[in-house]
Amino acid sequence: MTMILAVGLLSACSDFFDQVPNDRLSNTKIFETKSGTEKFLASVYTFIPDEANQRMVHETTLSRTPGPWTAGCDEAEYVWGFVTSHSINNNTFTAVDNLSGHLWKSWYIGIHNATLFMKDCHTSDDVTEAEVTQWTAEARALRAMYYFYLFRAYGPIPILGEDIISMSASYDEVQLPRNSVDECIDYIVSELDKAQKEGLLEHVSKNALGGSATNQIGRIDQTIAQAFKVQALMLKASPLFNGSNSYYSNLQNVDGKKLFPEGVDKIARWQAAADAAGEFLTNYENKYYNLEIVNTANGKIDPLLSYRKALRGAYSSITAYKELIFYRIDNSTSTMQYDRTPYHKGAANADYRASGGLGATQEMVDCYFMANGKLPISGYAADGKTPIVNPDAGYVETGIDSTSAYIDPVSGVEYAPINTYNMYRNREPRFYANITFNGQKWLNTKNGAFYTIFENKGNSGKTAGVNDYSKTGYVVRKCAPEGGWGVGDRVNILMRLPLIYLDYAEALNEVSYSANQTVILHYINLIRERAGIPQYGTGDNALPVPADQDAMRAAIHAERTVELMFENVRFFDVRRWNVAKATQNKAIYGMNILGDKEAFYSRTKVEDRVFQDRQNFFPIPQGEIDVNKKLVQNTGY
Amino acid sequence: MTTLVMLLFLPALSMAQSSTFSINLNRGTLKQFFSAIEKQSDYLFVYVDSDISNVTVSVNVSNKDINETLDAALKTTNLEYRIEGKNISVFKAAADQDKATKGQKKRITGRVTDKNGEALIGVGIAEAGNLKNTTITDADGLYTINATVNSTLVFSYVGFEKLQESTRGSQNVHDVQMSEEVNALNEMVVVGYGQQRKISSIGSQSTLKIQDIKTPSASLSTVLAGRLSGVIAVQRTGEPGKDGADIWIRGIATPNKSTPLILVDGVERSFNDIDPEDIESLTTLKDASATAVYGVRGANGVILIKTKPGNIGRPTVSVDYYESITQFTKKVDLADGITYMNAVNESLSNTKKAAKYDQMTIQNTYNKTDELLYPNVNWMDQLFNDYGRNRRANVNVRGGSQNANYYASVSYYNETGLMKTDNIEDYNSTMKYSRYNFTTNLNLKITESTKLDIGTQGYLGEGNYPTVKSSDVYSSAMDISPVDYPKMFFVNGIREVPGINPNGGYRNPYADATMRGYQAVTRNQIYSNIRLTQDLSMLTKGLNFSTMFAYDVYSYESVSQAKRESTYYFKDKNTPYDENGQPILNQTFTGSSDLAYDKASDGNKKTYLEASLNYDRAFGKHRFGALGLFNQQSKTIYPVNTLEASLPYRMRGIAGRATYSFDDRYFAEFNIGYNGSENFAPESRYGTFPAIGFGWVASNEKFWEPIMPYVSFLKFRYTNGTIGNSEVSDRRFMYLAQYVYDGNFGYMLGNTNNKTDGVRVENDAVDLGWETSHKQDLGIDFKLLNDDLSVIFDLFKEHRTDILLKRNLSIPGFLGYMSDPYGNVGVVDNQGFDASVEYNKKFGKDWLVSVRGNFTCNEDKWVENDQPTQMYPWLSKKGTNVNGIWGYEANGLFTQDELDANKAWDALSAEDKAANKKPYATPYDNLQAGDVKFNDINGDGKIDAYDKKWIGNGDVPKAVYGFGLNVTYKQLSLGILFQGTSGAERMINGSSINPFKGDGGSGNLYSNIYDRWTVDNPSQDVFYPRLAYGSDEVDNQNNFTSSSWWIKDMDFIRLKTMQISYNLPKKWFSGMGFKNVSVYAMGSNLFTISQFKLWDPELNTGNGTSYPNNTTYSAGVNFSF
Repeated sequence: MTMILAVGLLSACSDFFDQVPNDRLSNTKIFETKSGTEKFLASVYTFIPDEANQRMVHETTLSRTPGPWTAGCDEAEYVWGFVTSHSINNNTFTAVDNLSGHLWKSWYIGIHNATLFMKDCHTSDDVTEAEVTQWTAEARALRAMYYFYLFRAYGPIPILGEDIISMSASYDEVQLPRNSVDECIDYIVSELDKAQKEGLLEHVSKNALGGSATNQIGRIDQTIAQAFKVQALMLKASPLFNGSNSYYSNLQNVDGKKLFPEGVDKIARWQAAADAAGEFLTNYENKYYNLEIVNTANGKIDPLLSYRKALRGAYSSITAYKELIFYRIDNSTSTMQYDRTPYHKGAANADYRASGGLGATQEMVDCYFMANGKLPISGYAADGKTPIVNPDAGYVETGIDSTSAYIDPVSGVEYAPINTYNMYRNREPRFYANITFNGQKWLNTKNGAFYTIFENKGNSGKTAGVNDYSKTGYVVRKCAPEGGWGVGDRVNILMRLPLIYLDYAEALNEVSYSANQTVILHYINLIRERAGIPQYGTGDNALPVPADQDAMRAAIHAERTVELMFENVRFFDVRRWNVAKATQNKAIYGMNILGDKEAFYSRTKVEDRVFQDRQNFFPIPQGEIDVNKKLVQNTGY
Repeated sequence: MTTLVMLLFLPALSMAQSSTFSINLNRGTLKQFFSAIEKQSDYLFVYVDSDISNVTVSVNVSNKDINETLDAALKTTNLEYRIEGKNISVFKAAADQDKATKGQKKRITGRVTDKNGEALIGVGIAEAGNLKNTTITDADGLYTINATVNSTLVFSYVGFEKLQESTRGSQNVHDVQMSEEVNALNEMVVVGYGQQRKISSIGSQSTLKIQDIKTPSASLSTVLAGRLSGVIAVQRTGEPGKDGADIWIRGIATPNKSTPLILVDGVERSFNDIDPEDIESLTTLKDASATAVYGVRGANGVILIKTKPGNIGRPTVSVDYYESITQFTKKVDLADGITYMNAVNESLSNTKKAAKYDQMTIQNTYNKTDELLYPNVNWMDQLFNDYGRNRRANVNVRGGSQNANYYASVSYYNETGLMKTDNIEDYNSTMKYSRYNFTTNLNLKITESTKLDIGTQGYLGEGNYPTVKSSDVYSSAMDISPVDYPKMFFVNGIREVPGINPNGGYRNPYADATMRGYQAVTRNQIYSNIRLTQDLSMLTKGLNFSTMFAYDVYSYESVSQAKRESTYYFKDKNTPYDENGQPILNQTFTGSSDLAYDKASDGNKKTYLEASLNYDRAFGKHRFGALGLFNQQSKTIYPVNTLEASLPYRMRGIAGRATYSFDDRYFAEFNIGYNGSENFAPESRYGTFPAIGFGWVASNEKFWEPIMPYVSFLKFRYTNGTIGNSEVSDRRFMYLAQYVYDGNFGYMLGNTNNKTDGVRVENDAVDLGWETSHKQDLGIDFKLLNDDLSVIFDLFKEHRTDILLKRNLSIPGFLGYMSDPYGNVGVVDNQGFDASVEYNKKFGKDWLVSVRGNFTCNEDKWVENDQPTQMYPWLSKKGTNVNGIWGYEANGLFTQDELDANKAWDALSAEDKAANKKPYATPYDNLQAGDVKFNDINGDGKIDAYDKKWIGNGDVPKAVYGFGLNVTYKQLSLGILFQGTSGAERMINGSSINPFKGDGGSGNLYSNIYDRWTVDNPSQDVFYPRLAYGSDEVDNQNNFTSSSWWIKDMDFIRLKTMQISYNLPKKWFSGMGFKNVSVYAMGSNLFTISQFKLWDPELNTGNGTSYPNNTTYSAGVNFSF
């Protein structure tokens, strides 16, 4: 009887459970409005990496995709134990680490979102056809970029195309093999081509949709798509991917399909990369892009200010920059600046005091040219520590100069204060822009000059900082602020024009040094001129032109290392050049941070590092392989 | 049989409740006669003698009252009868009545009380052999009877054992004390949505009578450990007002909500803040049969708490008061400064680094030359007082008449924690918790057939704490070394907080505890319920209708004032003092001395409605029972930030039960719950949860008689059924997608500095259903030694399927879905047993001994967990327990020889390397002797994630047990209870317990740091491996990674309580109006035996940073009048 009564009650008040949160969004709802469509587009964009926060690459929300690039190669070392770059440096990074799973998943979400957006963005009546066209092209370009990022980190990966696979797909539907290197790159390039042709703005300053002239800033335009094309083709041409690396010759899918090419025309690949870079420069150099130049009062290039301006990237005056091709507007600037502003115990103003947790290595310090344009050292003795000094470079390894400060002969700017160790004198301007060394004056002088001391008991040493100090006795200075470390107004620079110059020079040199010498030298010398150092075969104190292809390659690599240091390039360069086993499988050095005064200035091992072949790529996340039995793991994991 | 059939259809005819009878029976059996009476009235017959059923009677009455009717029927028999309320006893007239002494009578008076000295009202008193001579006690429990000299008086009272008192001797005053019936046929037990006769109960349940239990804690849940079989209770902290225990019933069988449903007076409520004095009983329902009626809520077991109802009698006021002092069960013991510095230096020298502390510093610290410059602070001593205290007072009154009775109580509880305060501060950060409780239960009989029960309870809890959480204070004491800075600086009498980190790290623990402000917390709770019960005998006998409505409100308010003062340290340690001897300090961290105000609040309200029809009736040896029940609950939490969270949490269902028993030998029961949950789509919203049970009381069989003297009771029970669970921790309305606009997933375009929000998919919509728990229980109850020893034993087995798991293992990431949707994909098996044993024995007149023990153990394991086939079998969770710990398998510490063997291998050529396995795999290069060595499970020469496996149980015990003893000698009684757990394992890690593992080598040390591997003592049998300094040392990364080296056994046994009480002799306070006065002393957590020595093993912490549990010593008094 109660049952009958109760059942009656249940049906009588069936609205008891009808309360639902009616503010729920759904894909349908999102694409019904223009603002929803724009928001969805923002969540296609959001997976562009914010490389300013490389400290927390392991525990971030899915929208954030920075990588461990700077401290995960011989450029730098983080002091904090929790930073995941350590697992790369000691080869303990495995397929079950969160880092592997996180980036993989994030960029595939970006890919999923882009595909979804392209399918649905025309839904709202308020979105114009022109908008649909442009935004679709942007989503297409972004999707290709995310494939590029995946490819660069994981090697060849599965390409999903236009398919959206259901969440409740069966086991069989998710058995997708990896595509080959060539298939991946060709797909990326063709998609970027398509996006360029079918709707991308030529440049963000050209506003096809009306409105203010600058409201398109940050969007993917044809120049950015072209720059990514160059990057993709450079990878395809590079030794790691062009069949020169035998380690991957047996990496094949379950069905026996080889993932890496064999016996291909390497020259043609370099030519394709050179063509893409050349196309970029032909179409966009001077029209949209030039190197930043700041002149001194007497009309000469001020190299330090020019270089620092190029790397400043102030959002508030972003349209005034000529050198930035690709950047992320909102980013973790203060995190980056906290890493790069030393501890500075005792500084009265908190703007000066941060952590200095990102220490640059001695190896990077050694890479900077002397003011005379020559490399200070040519390598290391068998102990891996003692430098082999270039006899004619004028490099002095030891001693302190207590007589004078080091003044830039061109600008008259003080580059290093009095009592600077000789190693840090007479170096090229980019050194002073990129490295904070012991005794250097801090950038921020708004509340008075402050000198950074990394010695054990110094203001930024291990004793003072306890757990905030540099493990190398140097701190990365590039992009460090002249104001307080907590002040933003800085875009995260992801590609600058010199990258294309250097790509172009490298590709042309690989095609043929003799045939392309003039063009190669032109672009390398542009960089060196701006950097304030003698050029090859031209200008004041000209250096001899590199004799052959190998010498030119070395010069290009050296220039690239210095110019793009700490800009997330070297991590991939040492891999694609197949040189990582030589440069990364060894200890990194710094100064003796447990010593004071003279004892500090002693090359000291910071940590042993390991590079084995498998470390060319991240491991494919184990969880993916567990589900998708056709997804083969990278060799060595 | 015909009679029976007839009776079944009779009710309709006898709807009018008559006080007169019309019966025409010619040579019918006595039983037929009784049935006729029962049918026409409320009267129930109680057969005193069993052989009267063959007696035949003839009766022909019409409209006679009960006495006339009975007289008429029994006049031809040798039977007599007595009417007590609605019970009619029929017995043989005493044949051997001594007629000679008839007439010699004397007046006997006295008072009848229960064992607590409470008056018993309405006790029937009869003279043996002259059973018509009866009387009953009055409202004061007093009686007067004119009884034959040298006769015996028989005292009988429902629910109490019959008692005989001889009237021999000259004494005319006979006070008697009756004790409650222990094993009466009619003893009732609490079951889901009602009560059942104990003998007929088949479901597995255990009951705790709270009356004797006092707990020197604000939280009632702390009393459960070791007292109830099947219950796993662990107390995670002793912090005042926050010390509720974690409770599970029969272990864990799901990664989702695994805690039991707790009902107070039938409504889902918390019972932590109920005063123990107000509780009548606490029952746990463990198997499917007992919990199926709770449907979707019952899968993890149910705890039913009943507060005290009123009773009939003159108001009795009881007062209980105690006062306790508290102490930590175990305070963590940290290393002193000298030990610390030497260990630091050793750890540095182990990796060939220069010493951090020079000998002069160590010597100066040792000599205490300057305790500001060379501090040596035991932070634990600076944080905590040696003693705290608590006190509790409860006053309650209970009484009433047949038509209205009541229970009302007020209590006050107050506890002060052990954390220190600083007198200089002008606020009060004393850690304390006060609570005021009230309870009133009113039972009204509105008409003969209508009862109304009204209950209201509530409390006001007021807590005061330092603003920094106690666990954070503890953490800061674990982060800072004893030698970094002194406790406090004073410069010209002005206090300055020492500190070294400009970002505020390495906080001063003393300042954290005393100088950071206070938080005042108020918690208000009102529980109210009203129940109407209508006897529907007019429809059919044994039927009643009951409905309850409950309304609960709760609010929480917190106000705090917080600050963080600037910190200072010596500007230059070489010139630390000025000419006046005052320290010259430099500000290291910029804080503020201004207290910043903050507030927080939350609350909830809940309504609950229940309506049921109950039927219970016996027909001869057959007994039927049925229950049909509807309930619904709606709970709103506020304030909340989303619309979704603001919607009431709703639950609705119906429940049914049918029971049948035959002759108290065979029992069968069917239970069913039918529930709906908001989590599921409308078409799959409701689920059905049936359970069936059978019981057999073998000892009631005829053939048992010869065995009866040895085994006085034996019962078998078996139940089988399913119950559900719909709750997951982070999701409501699973059938709806959850997309939100979120700046983190957005992007900035254009130059307007406006970020466009992006779309974050919190959850995609999934169409799911319940977790289903299939439970079986096989139980046996028996009693030996004349009922003195009773044993209850249950085997249980649970198979839980469709467990709601996030499918982050089976949906590959490359599909590009942001959310990990739930799926009904998990399967867990859980089995075990629980048992309780009780032995009660009276020795002589004065001694009463009772011994109790209980044991619970369970074993759970994953059968299916959504994990695809793993690369190696040991990577699969299948077959391991739900709460397991994973990591490397440690295999001792490296010796130099082993590392040398590795070196030799490293030097081999590539071919030789390929041919010979590396002798010892390592996860890092450059390990040293004394570092932890791991097993290379997959044998690939590398230690990496593929070598991680299940290495431990986790912190929830596999077995819990308790045993205790109560001895009463005259007025003195002693009770002790031991409680223990086994199978709990914990991976210890964190600051201090992992020496120098912090960045830059930070962290304090435990005093057991001496127990370590050193070059001079390369022992394998040590607590700590080789020391290294700093998070970046590969040794530290290797040694402190999750491995079995750090798995510690958290088993313990402790003297949970010990209590001595003494009932003062009545003559001491006679005439003062007191009925009963007793004094008592008790202690709790008096000692603990555990292999684990560093902190209280019950705490939920990996490195001891939790406010410890308390040992309390209490003294109290209890009296009633």
